[in-house]
Amino acid sequence: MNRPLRSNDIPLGIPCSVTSLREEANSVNQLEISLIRAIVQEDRGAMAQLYDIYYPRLQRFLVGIIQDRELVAELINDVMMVVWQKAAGFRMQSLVSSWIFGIAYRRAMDGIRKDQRYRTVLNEVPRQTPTDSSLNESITARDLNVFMKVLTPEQLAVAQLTFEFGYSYPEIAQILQIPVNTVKTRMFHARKSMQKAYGLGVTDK
Amino acid sequence: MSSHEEVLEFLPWFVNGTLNEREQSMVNDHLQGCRECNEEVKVLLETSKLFHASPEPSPDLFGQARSEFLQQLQGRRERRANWARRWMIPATMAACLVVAVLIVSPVSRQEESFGTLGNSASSSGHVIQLVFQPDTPEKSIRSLVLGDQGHIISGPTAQGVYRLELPLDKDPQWVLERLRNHPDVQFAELEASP
Ligand SMILES: [Zn+2]
Repeated sequence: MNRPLRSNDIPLGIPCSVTSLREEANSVNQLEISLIRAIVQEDRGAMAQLYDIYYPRLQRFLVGIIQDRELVAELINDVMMVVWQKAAGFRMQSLVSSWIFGIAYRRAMDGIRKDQRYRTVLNEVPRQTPTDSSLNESITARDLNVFMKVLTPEQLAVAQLTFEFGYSYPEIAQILQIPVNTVKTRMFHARKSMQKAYGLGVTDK
Repeated sequence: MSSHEEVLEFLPWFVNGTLNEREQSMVNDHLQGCRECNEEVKVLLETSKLFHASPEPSPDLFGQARSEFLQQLQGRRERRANWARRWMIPATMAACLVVAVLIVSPVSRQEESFGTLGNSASSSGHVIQLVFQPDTPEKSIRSLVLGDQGHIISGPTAQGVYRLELPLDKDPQWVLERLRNHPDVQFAELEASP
């Protein structure tokens, strides 16, 4: 066993660390707030700017949950239209990004519940069953697809918001509008599923 | 206090650097003596790397979606105004409108109140008149009607108007906003209070 890890060691192992993404997110929040203020004044140019900032991020987030690019594009437009209409109601009590991700998540889950097309798409993608041959293989980028299939949409959202977008668990609770303990529970099950698929990490005790 | 299980739960946010100071030092202390948690940190770092390695989405759909969005944005106000005018002259309304009642689900309500100050005080027995988009599919109408956030007291009229009565605890202005912004809703207006 090596020396215990200290928190200072952590970012070194990550090429593009979540920590740096998070700092970036905090610094762009000011810009985004000024865009929101302009949008309240019905500034369409500001809306286009915000759209350009959020389209790629929402696409990365939603493709995991919805898994169909065309539906995702449609959903993003839906989300951004809500932003346009609701900007005046945003009270800056959270990050702009938390607000927008929250809208996106609820729209996506609404879609899964109510829209036949979403269900069809999800049904067409078989959930992955872990196999012996996958044990102990090193994890590569394409395996993210496997993760997406062993996780429920709710679990995947928690995992993405943590690992990919760098949110704290209280922020995730706010975005998903669930108790913090539910965030932890979903994460715990997500970790078990992902790690079982690869024979890694926490044991089932 | 800082049990192994508790620390284990915190580790994903230890790895992403978002724990508060107290939690962070608790985890650090525990890591000094727990082999399993150290192993878990390594696994989570791998997991984190994986999520970061997720490919950037291809831009193919972006341009199309963007121009559709901007068009929609441009047309938004005019279309709303048109519908308001038609409402004033019900006889001109297309009789073929398909009409539904929008679900105002608890989830949706949360969505809109998120990041906003509290809604204004509840009110009683408000009625909203509604006209929906002609292409609203029947099954979504059905699921909308199944929502328990209000109930239909009359309609549809020949002009396709439904009247929706709200529960006592609903803020009518909020519901109205919500309805007006729903893509399936052509028109929503509060009836004058009795
Ligand atoms: Zn431990």
